[in-house]
This record gives sequence, C-alpha cells and structure tokens, in this order.
Amino acid sequence: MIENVQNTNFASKNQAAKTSKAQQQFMDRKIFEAFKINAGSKTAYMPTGHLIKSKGPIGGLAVGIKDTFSDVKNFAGAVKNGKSNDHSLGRMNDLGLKLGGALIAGYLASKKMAPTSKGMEFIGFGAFLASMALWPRLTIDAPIKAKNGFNIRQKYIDNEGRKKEFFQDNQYLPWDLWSNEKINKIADRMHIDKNMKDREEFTKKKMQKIALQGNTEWMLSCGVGVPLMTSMICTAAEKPLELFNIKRAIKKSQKNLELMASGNKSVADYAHEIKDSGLDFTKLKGSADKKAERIFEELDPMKLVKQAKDQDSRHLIEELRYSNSLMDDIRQILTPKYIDSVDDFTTTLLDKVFKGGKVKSVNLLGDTVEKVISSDALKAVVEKANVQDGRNFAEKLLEAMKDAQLPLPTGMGQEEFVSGVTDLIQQNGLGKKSEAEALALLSRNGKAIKALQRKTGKLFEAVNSVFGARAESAATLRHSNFASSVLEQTGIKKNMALLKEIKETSGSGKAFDTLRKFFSKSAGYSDKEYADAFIELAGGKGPKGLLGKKIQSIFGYLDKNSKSTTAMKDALGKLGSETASLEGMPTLKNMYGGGRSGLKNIVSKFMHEARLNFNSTSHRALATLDFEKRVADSAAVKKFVKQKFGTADLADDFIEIARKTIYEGTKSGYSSAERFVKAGKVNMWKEVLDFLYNQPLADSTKKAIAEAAKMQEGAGISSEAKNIISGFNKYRSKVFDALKSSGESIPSKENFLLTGKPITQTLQEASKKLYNNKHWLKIFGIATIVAVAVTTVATFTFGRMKKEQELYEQQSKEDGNVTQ
Amino acid sequence: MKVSFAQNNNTNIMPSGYIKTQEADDKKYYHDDYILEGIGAKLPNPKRAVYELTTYPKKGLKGSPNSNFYEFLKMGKIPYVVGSAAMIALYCVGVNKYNSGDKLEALKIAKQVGTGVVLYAAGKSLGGKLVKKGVHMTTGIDVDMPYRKIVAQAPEKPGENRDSVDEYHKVFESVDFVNWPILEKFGARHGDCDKYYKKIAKRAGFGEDLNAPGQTMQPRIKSVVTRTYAAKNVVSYLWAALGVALSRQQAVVDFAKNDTFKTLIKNPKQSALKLGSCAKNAVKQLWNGTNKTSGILGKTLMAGTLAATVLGVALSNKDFRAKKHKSVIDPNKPVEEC
Repeated sequence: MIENVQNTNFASKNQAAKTSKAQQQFMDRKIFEAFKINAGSKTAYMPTGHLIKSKGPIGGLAVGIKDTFSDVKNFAGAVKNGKSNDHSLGRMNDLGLKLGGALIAGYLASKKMAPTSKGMEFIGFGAFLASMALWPRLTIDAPIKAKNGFNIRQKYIDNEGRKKEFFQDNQYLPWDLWSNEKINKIADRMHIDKNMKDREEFTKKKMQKIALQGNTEWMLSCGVGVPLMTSMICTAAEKPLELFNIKRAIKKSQKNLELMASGNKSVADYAHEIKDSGLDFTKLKGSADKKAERIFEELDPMKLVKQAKDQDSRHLIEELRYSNSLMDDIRQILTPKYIDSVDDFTTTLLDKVFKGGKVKSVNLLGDTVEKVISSDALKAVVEKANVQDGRNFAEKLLEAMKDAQLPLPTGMGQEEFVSGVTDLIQQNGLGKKSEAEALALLSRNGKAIKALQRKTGKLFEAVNSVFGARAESAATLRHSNFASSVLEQTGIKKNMALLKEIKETSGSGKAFDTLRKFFSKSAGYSDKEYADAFIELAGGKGPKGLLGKKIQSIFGYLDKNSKSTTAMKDALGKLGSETASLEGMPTLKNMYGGGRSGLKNIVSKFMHEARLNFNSTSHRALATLDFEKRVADSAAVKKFVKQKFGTADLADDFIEIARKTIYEGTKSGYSSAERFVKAGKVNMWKEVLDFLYNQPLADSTKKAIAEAAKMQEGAGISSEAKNIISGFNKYRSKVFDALKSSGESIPSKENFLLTGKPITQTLQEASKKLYNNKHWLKIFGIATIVAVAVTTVATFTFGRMKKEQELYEQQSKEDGNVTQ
Repeated sequence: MKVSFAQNNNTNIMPSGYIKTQEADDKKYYHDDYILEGIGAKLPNPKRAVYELTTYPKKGLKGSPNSNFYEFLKMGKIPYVVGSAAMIALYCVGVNKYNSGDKLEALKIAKQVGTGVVLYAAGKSLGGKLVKKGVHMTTGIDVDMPYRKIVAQAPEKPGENRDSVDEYHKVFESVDFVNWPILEKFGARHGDCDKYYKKIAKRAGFGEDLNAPGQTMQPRIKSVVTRTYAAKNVVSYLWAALGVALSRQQAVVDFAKNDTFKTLIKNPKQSALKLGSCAKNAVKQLWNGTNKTSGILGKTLMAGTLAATVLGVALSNKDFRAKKHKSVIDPNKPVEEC
C-alpha cells in the first residue's frame, strides 16, 4: 500500500514536471477570465479613514511614545522587506533625530563631572524635543483654535491606517472626513452668515487658508522660538535638579553608611568581591622590591580616587597618607627575615630560654649580681639580628647581645645559648614564613584591603556629599544660600543698576560702600528692629518657598547631631574594627585606628573645618553689624581710643582701620602689619582686634541674642540661625584668642577659617553672578516673550477673505432673488 | 476650457495648453518636465535657495491656494538655519553671564557650541551623502536624481492670468509615486525609452536582453530606494552625533580658541595643514576619551556610525541583484505555436 502511494506521488511529480508551458498559460488565462467576469460585481472597500480626537498633553505624550515604537517597527520592516511608504519614511527621520539627540546627550553627559551638568544634557535634549512639539501648539494652534474653533494640527487615520496631519498638504485635503455638522459649527465660530449659499465650501476654504498660514508661520517662527523655549525650560529646571541631585547623593551615601555600620553589604560589594576573588599574588616573579611594587600597584588606594576624580576624596586620601603605610606593610611582609613576629619571639625567648628573664651580671664594683633583663632591650637586640644575610640567626643574636652588652641567661654558655635559640625556633614554629607563604598572606590581605578601600571610598563619598567643597554638596549650598540671603537683605537683589555697578567696579569699593550703608542703617534701628535685622542676617526663617523647604532639609545634614553625622561615626568605628583581620599589617591598622593621623581624626577634622568655614562667614557678618552699632556711639569709641593711645584724636583713623578689617580683612589682611598703621603713626593691630572681638557687645546685640534664644525653632527662626546666634559669643572669644596668639604671622588653617570669608567678597561674587544671570534672563526672557507675543498675535490676522466672502454673500443674495 | 496635452517639440506648448512667449525659447525642454543632467545639476544653487526662502513663505503667509506641499517642505530649511543661529547667539550672549574668571571658560563653551552646530549640520549632510553615494556606486541608482517640474498656477484673484513656476524635485523623492514616466522620457531623449532601466538591469546582473526591463527593474529600484531612505534617515543623525562629539574634543577646542576666521583665510595652506592635524587629533581623542565612560562611548559612536553606514549601503543592495540559478526555460528552444 505504502509502496503504491509512493509510486503515485512519484508519478504526479513526474507529471507536474512534464506539464507544459502551454498548460500553465491556459490555467493563468482561466483565472484571468474568471476575474474579468466577476470584476463588474466587485466594489471598492468602504472608506475607513476618520479624524482623531486630540488627547491633551499627557495623552499626547503617551501617543507620541507609542508612535515612536511603531516607527521603530516600521523602520525594521522597511530595512527587512524593502517596502514602506512616504509617510513612514518621513517619520523615520524623526526617529533618527531622537536617536542622534539621545546619543549626543549621552556622550556630552559622559564628559561632565557634576551630576547636575550631566542631568542637564538630558534635560536639554528633552526640553528641545518638548519645545519642538509645544512651540507651535501653544503659540499657533491654541490661539487659532480659540478664535476659529478648529485645530490646524488635526490628525486623521487614512484608509490604510496611517496617522497623518489633515492640513499638512495644502493641495490634498480629504474633506469627506469632516461632517457638515462639524464644518457648520466651525462656521458659527467664525461668524459666517448662516444663510450663505455654499456655506460649508466657503468655511473649508477659510480653514484651508488659516491652516496654510499657520503652518507657514510655524516654519518661520520655530527657528527662533524653539531654542528660546528650550533655554527657558532649562533655566527653570537647573535649580530644582541641583537640589534633587544634592539630596539624592547624600541619601544614597547615607544608605551605604548604614549598610557599612550594620555590617550588611550592598549588592555592589558582592559584585566586586566576586571580581576580586581572582586577586592572587602567589605567582608573581622578580625581586622582592618588584613584587612589592606590583602588589602595591594592584592595591593602590589612589586608584579609587582616580576613578572618582573627586578632589575632596583625593585630598582626604592624601591626608591619610594611606599609600605610604600600605607600601611599608607590604615591604615588611616581603623583606627576608629570620622570624616573623619579633614580639612573639621575644616573649617566648624570655620565658623559655631566660626562664623568666633572670640573668647574672657583673656590677661596677665587680660583684656578680642577679637581675631581670628588660624585655625592651631584648626586643631591640632581636630586631637588630632579624635581618637576613645568610648566617645562622642564633649566632647573629649572640653577637648582637654581645654588642649591646647584654648578659647571657644564668648558667648558660655561648654554645648552649645558640642551640637553645635554634631549638626554640624549631619547636615553637617561630621561624620566618617562606616567600610563598608571604605572598599567600598578601593575597588574603589584598582581598580584605580592597573591600576596605571600597568602604573607605563610600565613607569619603558620604562625607563629601555633605561637607565637600565640590560644586554640589550641602556645604556649598549653604555658602551660596548665605550670599543670596545677604543680597536680598541689602536690597541689591532687585536693583539691577546697583548690581551692575558692583559687578563693574574693580576691587570691593562699591560692595563695601553698599554694605556699609546697609549695616549703618540697621545700626540706627530701634532695638526691636535691630533684633529682627540681626536674626535675619543669621539666617532668619531660612530659605523660603517650595525650593526653600528642600534647601532647609539639605541643611539638616550639616548639623553636628544629625543622623548622618552619627552614621558616619558608626561607619568609622566599624571600619576600624574590620582591620583586625589584617595579619601582619600594623601600619595600615594604625591608619584605620584612632591615631592622630588616623582616619577617624581626619574625617572629623574635615567635617569640623567645613562647619567652621560657613559658620564663621555668618558669624563675621553678625560681628560687622554689632561693630556698626557700637561705632554709632562715637563717645564710647573715643573713650576706648583715649584709654589705649592716650589721645582721642586717633578715633577716626581707628574706626576706619577697624571697619576695613572687619569688612574686608582676609587671611593676608589680618597678617599684614601696614594695614594697621595709619599715615606712619602707631600700629593699631592689637587694639583693633581687642575692639572687634574682645570688647563687650552692644546692648542691642545682647538683647537680640536673648530674643533669638527665646524664640522657638521653626517659628520665626530656623535651627541654623539659632545655632549661629547661640555660638556667636564663643566665636568672638575663639577668634580673638586665635588671632592674638598668631600675631601678625600667617595664621594656621583653622585660624584662617575662623576669620570667615569677608562679607564684601561674598557680596561682590554673588552680585556678579546674579547680575549676569539676570542680564541674560532679561535679554532672552524678553526675546521669548516677544517671540511668543508676535507669533500669537499674528494668528489673529489669519483667514482674512473679505472679498471672497462678499462674493459668496452676493451670490447667495442673487440666488435668493431668483428663487423668490 | 479645453486643455491640450499634445506633444510637439517644434512649438512651445505647455502641458496645460497655454502658449508661452518667446522668452521660453532659450530654455531647453521648457515645454515639459525633464531630468537635470550634468555636474551642475546637484550643486547648491544659491539663487534658487534665496528665491525659495523668500517666495514660499510669502505665498504661505498670504494663504495662496497655489502653495503646495513641496513649498512647505522647502520651508523646512528655515528652522534649521534660523535655529542654528539662535542657538549660537544664546551661548554667545551667555558668555557675559559669567564672572571674568569663568568668562574664558564660557567663551570656550560658546565656541564649542558654534563648532558643534556647524559639525552637526556637516555630519548630518555627510552621513546622508555617504549612504546615497554608496548605493549609487553599488547599484547605479542615484536616489538624488533631480528633475525640473513645471507647475501650473491657478489664478489667485479674479481676472489674473495663469502662470507656471519651476519646482526642482527628485525622481525618487516619493516611494509611493515614483516618477517613472520621466525616466522613460529621459531615455527617449537619449534614443531608448528603457535606457535607464537597462542600465540598472545590467548592474543588477540581468544582462542586456530583458524583455521588459521596466517591469523587472521597477520593484527592485523601489526597494533599493526605500531601504536607502530608511538607512539614510538614521545614519545621517549618527554622523551628526559624531560631529557634535568631535566638536567637544580638546583638539577642536584649541583650534577654535587659537584661530579666528580671519587668520584662517589669510594663510590657506597653513590653515589646511592645521585643520588636518586638528581633525586627526580630534578623532584620536574621541576614540580614547577623557574618562572610562566617554572612552567607551566615543569608541562605540565611531565604530557604530561607520558600521551603520556600511550596513546601510549593504542592506540597500539586498534583493537587488539577479539570483543566479539554472533557468528551466531554454531561451534557444523554439516556442511552439498554440
């Protein structure tokens, strides 16, 4: 049976092959004739095209994303099958634009350092795409729709399911998609005579004209409008993005700290550990020095910083002198020796050979006495002998003991001592590890060190995200916020002319004058007003508004008692305890311990200095206000000057020097002698210092401090302002002591930070920046407004067809007459 | 009114049936659309560009019924030109935003943006040209083949005379409606209607004896054109991105910093040498990157763009060539009469 089927199959195949060309042609003709007969009964498909309702901005975005995906699909289809249509190919151009834009943003972001600049590249690209879509919609489509009742960007789906813009091609408008009802509604909106003959036709013509004019205006205006709109969006987005990035960096690093402190590892840690499992130094070749260098290269802590390219972290690592200690330890392990642990060996030697350390020695009188040998002396001798040179260690030790004039153990000869020591090493396993063992130890340590470095890196990142001097940290934000607050209080913020003058004046002359006026004015206030000004200068209620709230929450991390500071301390403790597992690396252990140059000390010093830096700047501003208040009472100043210099004539000079010092004095200013000598007269350095920081505060200031102390946090005063005011007195005495003791020599870093940034300098820098920002915004803000206004207003002139309308109306009337 | 489409080479009869004045005589083939030949055909024509950029917006703003999609597309150049200028202006004025210390840095950025805009445009144009040139060289199909079209204008006001305007189209600008007839007219002008198809058929390996070269080649040409456009639309933006990335390299920054337009014009030979070494260094710097990420991205961008260009040309050639297979039909065998 099967055979039969196979036979028939074979036969039919053979048959088919034999089917002549003529037969094939006959079949084709048959099919064609059947089609010809039926052709008359076939009709075209019913049209399925329709207009699409607008989905609003959010719905539109979703549709846009969906359309982009279908563009990708169409692109793949076009490349694969070689089939597409003009519409899809046109949309592929947009696809290319998006891809190219994303690549540009990605590449440029990779070259930027600060997260905000990185983010701005993408925001810029997004804003550009958004502006391209929004510009015509806001400035052209919306006013046209408001006036005429239809959207010139009306979309429709054609019979083949392609989405197109209805008015795109002025000479191809498939009007059958619009119902008469809809057209009439638009005609009503356009105030077209209801009785006009061919009202729909006329409306369509008008719509066509308006759409064409709108589209042309779009092409003419978007070249100017889109870049302007993009830059405005970016300007508005920069500050919130910066705050978001600062907070995100802090929060992220805090989380790492918590993980470190709790001993839990982050996912990233695990990933690294898997990679580090390949850390194997046992196969290294070459001299001990070369090996040490290779190992150090692998474990170099600077690698971490180089990757992060973070100036602050680099600074911290350098301060820790981590690299040196690591190299010392590696060399120590690899250096050829007789015994590994000198401590262990000395203890065992004292115990086993010296039997508790009793030795007989001859004293100065020639008597033989028994005494106890000092373990330190013995240790020194062991260390001296413990340098490998090929000789017997026990013999070397004996020689070293002779050199140090140390006696042998009671009742022991030289030979006995040598054999005793040799036995001791062998029996107790105190000998030096082989080189292979040393390398294995370093491999083990290496893994631990890498983990330690990663954690140190994370710790530094956490410290820097809050206290770092980098462009985006809580401390930097605090500085810029103080400057901005001073600008606001002095009234300069809104005074463009003054801003310009300060910006353009070389030196700090103009800033000095402006500030002096401000402080003198405040000094003239009543106690109540003065207190308000004093508190406001310290920070007042803190930054205001929605962004202000975010800023205040970031300032919270700077607080001494903040959670983040505690987390840092916990993490530091944990790091210290983790070094315990490092075998034979005493120097490195010290680094992570609590030593003077240890990690704990360095990190806390870093945080302290950062706090000191911004607090002193605020304190100095308060001291300036207090100074003006006291100087306002000229009799008191004269009394002080007379008491110090014997004559009140110097009072004016004294005030001038003191004023310059408190307003403008810098690190070098405080230390240059000539600054305090007026016209070759007396040097007033000590007296100025005394007056500024040691003399009692003005009564009004005392009252203001008391007032601030009474105020509840959050009600009229922020916690930062409260801290500043409560620390003011302490600051004064500290700065007085520091400057007095350093005299006129260059002050230490701490003393320099104590003096704070001169308020004139703060004001000048901030004014320049603000003026430039405002100036730029003024030019382009106005340009944007003008561009928007011109584009929008122009749309109201579109669709003027007075003559045609008259013609149509006349026609209607004539036709009406005829029918009547 | 009756419109005559009679073809008569001896009289100046427009397709619309209107007789033109003598001034039309000095224009060759004025009476009909024709493919533009010669080297000058595809070179940029500033006079035409100025005409397009001034006349079309005017027509559009007036709401002329004669304003068509071609004119709308031509106006698409305006945002590119104006937008690029506006962007450079934004950064140049932005230079004053900074303090004197940062001003130099800001000026550097402004110059970078300027070069970026120029290199973006150059990259985009070059990318598209490379794909199209590649396809032209491998298949013989020039997707940019230009032709002049005469478009009759409807009178805009009562009593106004009808006129016609020239438009400069591309034969393959629409894959939905390829202007096949003009290819045939082009052939006819050179003595053979199928001249173009035959040329392409030969390139595709079909030989010279195809019965109906048009019928065989049209679908193949269409698929080549479709793929070329698809590839061009993506590849050209990759080149644009590459242009911007190159503009941010130190070599370009230094070049822009040290040389002004004036100094470049004065010493053309030296400038060319400088430009060459700048381009070489910029490519090197982009490849190496300033950090790990930018290095990886730079390499990917360069290699990816080159690969995409080659791939674009290769894919456009897909299904173009005749498949080599043994024919079951013996062309030498005499056909039996039915």
